[in-house]
Amino acid sequence: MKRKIIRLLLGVTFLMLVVVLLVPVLLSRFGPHLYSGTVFQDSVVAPPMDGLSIHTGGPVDLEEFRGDVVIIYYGYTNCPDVCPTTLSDVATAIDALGPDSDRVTLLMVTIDPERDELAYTGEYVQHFHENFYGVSGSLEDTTLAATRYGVYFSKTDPDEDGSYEMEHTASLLGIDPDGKLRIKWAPSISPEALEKDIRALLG
Amino acid sequence: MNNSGLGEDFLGTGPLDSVDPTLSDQSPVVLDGVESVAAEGRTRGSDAGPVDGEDLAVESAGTGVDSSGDNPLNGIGSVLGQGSDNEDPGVLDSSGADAVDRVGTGEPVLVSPVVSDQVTGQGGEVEHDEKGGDSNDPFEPLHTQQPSDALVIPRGLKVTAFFVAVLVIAAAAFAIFEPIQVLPRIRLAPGFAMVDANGDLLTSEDTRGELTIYSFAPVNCGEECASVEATLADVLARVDEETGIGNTPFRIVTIGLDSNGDPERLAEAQANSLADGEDWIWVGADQSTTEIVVGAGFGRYMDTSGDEIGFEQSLVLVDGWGVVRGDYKYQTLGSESDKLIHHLGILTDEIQYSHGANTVAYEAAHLFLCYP
Repeated sequence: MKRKIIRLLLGVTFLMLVVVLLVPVLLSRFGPHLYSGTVFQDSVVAPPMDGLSIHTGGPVDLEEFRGDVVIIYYGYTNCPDVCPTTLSDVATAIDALGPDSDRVTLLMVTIDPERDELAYTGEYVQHFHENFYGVSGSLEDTTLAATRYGVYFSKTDPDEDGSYEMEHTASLLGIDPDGKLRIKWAPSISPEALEKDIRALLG
Repeated sequence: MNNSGLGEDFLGTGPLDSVDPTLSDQSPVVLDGVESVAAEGRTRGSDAGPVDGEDLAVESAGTGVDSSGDNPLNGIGSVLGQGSDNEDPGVLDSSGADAVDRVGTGEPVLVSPVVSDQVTGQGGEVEHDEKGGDSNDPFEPLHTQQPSDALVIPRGLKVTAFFVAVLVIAAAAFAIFEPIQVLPRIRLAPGFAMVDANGDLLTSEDTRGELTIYSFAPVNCGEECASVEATLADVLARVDEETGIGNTPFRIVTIGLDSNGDPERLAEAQANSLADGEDWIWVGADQSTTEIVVGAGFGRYMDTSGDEIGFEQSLVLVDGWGVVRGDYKYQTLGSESDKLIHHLGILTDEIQYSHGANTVAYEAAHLFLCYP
């Protein structure tokens, strides 16, 4: 009897140990994907981009991208470092998706409409990936859209040559296939982590 | 029927070690009148020759008895249910010689599913090994015969079901008892650039990494804003002691709806309020930008077209990632300081503890909507 109790206690202890060790493993393997970005409640519809145009022609209509993941990025073509780096990382992540890469689109909204013409913005982003599109509009419309997407930008004081830079929020915003704004990624996110998050968004 | 040879051999009246080695190629053994015999353990003793006779048939082929191993009789000693015409149910009386005698006499015998007998061959003693089934034993399925209509559930399925049940219960307990509470990640806070009472620029990027409560008021709000101001002052006074906010920066920012980005007007409004100018500041921007930030960004009503400014009393709690975590509207603000302190405490805990393995727990709390 005593032996049975000891066996039972040992069994229960062992099982508890197994469960404690197993739950994180199972959660990480079979549970919901743990996003590397900051995820919002799934009821947040992606804000519209009123007045902005896409370089392939016509106004930006996010409805056209239903069923796909759309990544929104606010940058500019004269951006010295963070923009090209981020765009390159996104391109790597999209390529890593394989056949699903066709279901991912990036829209780069220029925050420097004064210098970035729409066609040139499109040409610039297409250098990084064919799934990238340039978006531009008036300063007021750009400001409105940026504010809605939590993006701040401002122009630095011009130097002697009249050249200037733009300070801006460099985050990436992810819209899921249902058209909901679901996630915010830091610009420093790795292509691997981004790929996994996109894959999870695609479902 | 002559069972003496069998009985002696099995009971160890002679050294079974010297059993005719030809038996090793002649198992399995099927006993007439016996359900069957299978071996578990070693049988020793006996000088008996080849086992043969009317009561004991030795087959050179078939299943049921392990014919491998050095001991030719390895494989004899327990009873199998094959090769018998007698289907009477029964349990082998495993009390030593009697059990074997019954085998020898051809009485119907059926091994208990939970007991396998090990014949030692020492003085007719039979050892009982209560294994409850050994999955390594190729004869186990024959030992553990079940009625044909019984549902047999594989052990692997049982184990899987057990762990699934544990996980489901754990998940349900987590959702019900909410050991960890979190504030919802409601939406993105707007991006903005405004000036403060000193004329310095404050952007949304400057507030990254800190907790911020935003409020909205005209520069000459007066009594109308007294209640909200009292709430904010109370929060500011209590936040350090009651939330364990520690080194996490915390700030209250009041957006002047009609300041037009004028630092002097902002300074005047700040001085007339309960703001201290450090942890609680006033900011503003030109009218167009203000309307975009407050209206489109924070989703707050404001109307500056008339003589009186229309606005709604409200507060917004934003975390260090620029995500709205609390939205407080309407007339409930008079007694909201307790709630705000509570929510700041929850947010502070998440900032401090949601690292490493704890991330899973906090994400689970978001998943199960463990909101206050």
